[in-house]
Amino acid sequence: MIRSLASIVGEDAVAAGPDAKKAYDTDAYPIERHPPDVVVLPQTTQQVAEVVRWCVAYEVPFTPRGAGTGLSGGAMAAKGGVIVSTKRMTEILEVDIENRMVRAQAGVPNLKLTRAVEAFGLQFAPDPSSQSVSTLGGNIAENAGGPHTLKGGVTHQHVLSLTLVDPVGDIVEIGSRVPGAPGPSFMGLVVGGEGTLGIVTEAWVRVVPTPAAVSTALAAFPTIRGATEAVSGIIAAGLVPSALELMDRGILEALRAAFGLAYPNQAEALLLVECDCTVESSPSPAREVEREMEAVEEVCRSLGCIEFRIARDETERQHFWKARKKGIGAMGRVAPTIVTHDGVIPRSKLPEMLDFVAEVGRTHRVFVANLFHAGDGNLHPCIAFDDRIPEQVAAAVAAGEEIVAKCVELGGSVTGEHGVGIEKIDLLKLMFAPEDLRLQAMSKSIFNSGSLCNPCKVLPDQRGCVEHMRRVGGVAW
Amino acid sequence: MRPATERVEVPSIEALADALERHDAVRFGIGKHAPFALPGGAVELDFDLPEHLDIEPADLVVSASAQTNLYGLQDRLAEHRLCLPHGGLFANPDPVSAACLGALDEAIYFGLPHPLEAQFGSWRDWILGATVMLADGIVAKSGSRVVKSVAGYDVHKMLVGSRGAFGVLLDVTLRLQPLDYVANRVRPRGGSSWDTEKPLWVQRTLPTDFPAALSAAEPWLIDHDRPSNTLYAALPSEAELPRFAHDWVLRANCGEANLLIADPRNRRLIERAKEVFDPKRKLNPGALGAV
Repeated sequence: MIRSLASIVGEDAVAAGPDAKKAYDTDAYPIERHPPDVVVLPQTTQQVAEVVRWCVAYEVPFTPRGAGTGLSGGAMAAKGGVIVSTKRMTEILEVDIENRMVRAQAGVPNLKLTRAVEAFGLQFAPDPSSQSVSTLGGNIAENAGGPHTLKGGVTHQHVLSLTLVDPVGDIVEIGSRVPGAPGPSFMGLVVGGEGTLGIVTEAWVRVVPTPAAVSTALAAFPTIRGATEAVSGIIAAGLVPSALELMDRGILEALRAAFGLAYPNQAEALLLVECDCTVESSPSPAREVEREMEAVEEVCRSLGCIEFRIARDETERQHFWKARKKGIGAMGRVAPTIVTHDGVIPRSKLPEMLDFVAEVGRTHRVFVANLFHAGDGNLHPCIAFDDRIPEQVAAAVAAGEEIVAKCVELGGSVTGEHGVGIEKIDLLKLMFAPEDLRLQAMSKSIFNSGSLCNPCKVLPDQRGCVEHMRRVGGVAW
Repeated sequence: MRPATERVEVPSIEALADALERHDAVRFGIGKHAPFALPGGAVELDFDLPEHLDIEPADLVVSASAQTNLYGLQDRLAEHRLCLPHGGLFANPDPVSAACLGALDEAIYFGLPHPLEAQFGSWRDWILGATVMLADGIVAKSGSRVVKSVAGYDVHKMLVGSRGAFGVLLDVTLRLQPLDYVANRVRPRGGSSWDTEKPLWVQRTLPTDFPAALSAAEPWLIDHDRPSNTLYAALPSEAELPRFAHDWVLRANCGEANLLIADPRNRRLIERAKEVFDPKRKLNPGALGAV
């Protein structure tokens, strides 16, 4: 196997030793582990296609992988075989400023796309928290979001076309540099397809103007219900902030301990609100942003906000964002282990849902803190526990399952941006009836009618995947 | 275009399943988009399904029966200061939107361009979920009612532009925009109407090619939309305009030339999808050309 693959990608681009197997046995969802037999690091689309054709010829499973930052086990080699890493596919191939688009290989980190065009006043809008390392290919596979998707949209809205090595090794182009072509498009399947429909090797992505004016504020509320009602109130008022993020007291205390974050003592929740405007949206972006932020403040004040602080300058704005971005890391001081969940509810259900999350924490005697994309209704309850104590593990697992089930009960989704992967494969049945899952299986079979390309992911009840299903048992980590 | 040989009333979901069972081929979801449709004869379905409309103002989401009239829908949304940001529903329609907007399902099946597309996206960006009847009569749903979800494959996005070739839309969930937010960003634009009996050439190019495309289309130009680089020309059906790299063209009243999907790789995928979703070629046969 190693010799054959080395003949395609070169000897230095194949790893099969114990260290490599250990390094690649999981992604950022460490609960599920399975080592690959071999890791290959191709540099071109052609090499990826040849590797896939080799895998098909010898019936070897293969799994695409970017930076391995995925949170649902999507890049884990569930049945062993070959990990096809895009780690060496890091070229930005073309920058077309006039047409506002960039062509890049799948292994390019998200942030590098913005770095390539920022001198021209442009940016790649999707900004997942992992953007300094997570790759374009990974973002496409997971349809990655981030704090600014409320206004800027998720990855799907920013991919114009992509090159896909399909599950039999053919090279397929999906989409077009000129968007909106007549006829059906399969882009919506591949983006968010979690690497089960083939391996994306490169893409043309849209880059958009950097906002000419940005204003960021922290609104403090004495109750979490007040903060969640403010989120609903802002949306219902017809305002469209670029970000609307919520941190509850659990997160705030962790941030105070870790980074000295100052906030009013009576605050049970902070809402981070960002408004922005480009020169293309308004002739006077600064005035537009000011007007919008005034309206946001009015809504917040009317719902009990005790302090509304607008960043005076870029330094303070970055400080506000640091609190948001370091929140999960700060939780690491609270307990030996934390797990971050991902579920979505209709925004209007936020107050009810947050009450429920608190109740679940009390019932199971686990500490639950909340830091999430409130504007999208995308929850990230963060459960802290000690994984050396089996009772705490069981309690954390049960709490997570109840939270995700409640998301579905309220009309939401089991995942907003982390993906189904292997983590939530059973939970998909909470959302979808058997005929709905059959519909999804049909769409998958347009590209992938076999069982070699990233097996045991997304759809439940796949042949030969029983072991993983039993082990996961629906745990929503 | 050949006239349909027979019309069948569809007053219920059961009647729809029955029609799919009884007839070899059915035609539906064309309505006001007929000038853009490809020729094809089949039993024509005449929907009269129970209507359903569920607006969630605080969530900026609406679920509606697929046959809902778009102007009526927009009026109901306006009562909540919400809207679908489709240029044709504002006071600046392009000639296609002005002539063709009718029911929600046909707008999704055809997915034609509109003048607010560059700012607010289009159907593929707005659709959050759908309920669909498949060719075998099974009803299934895809997506969700929340604005952000990555649970499973987004089959509903594949139905945009599908011309009904993969399933019959029954119910659609869409994300909305605040009406005032959109209305404040609608810029006045010129344009003129199009006689829907006459041929039309719709072309979209890269921004850098658009001036040349406009210049070439000048003698026949009806309208153009600079933000989306789309032009509309009353070009005779036997004539052609210059093509540009990566551009696309859509024609009306030009028979088989109405839908040009030239890329053979894309055609293969469409053929594969048709084979999976409608192996007996019952749903709008010929709607996507020779698949």
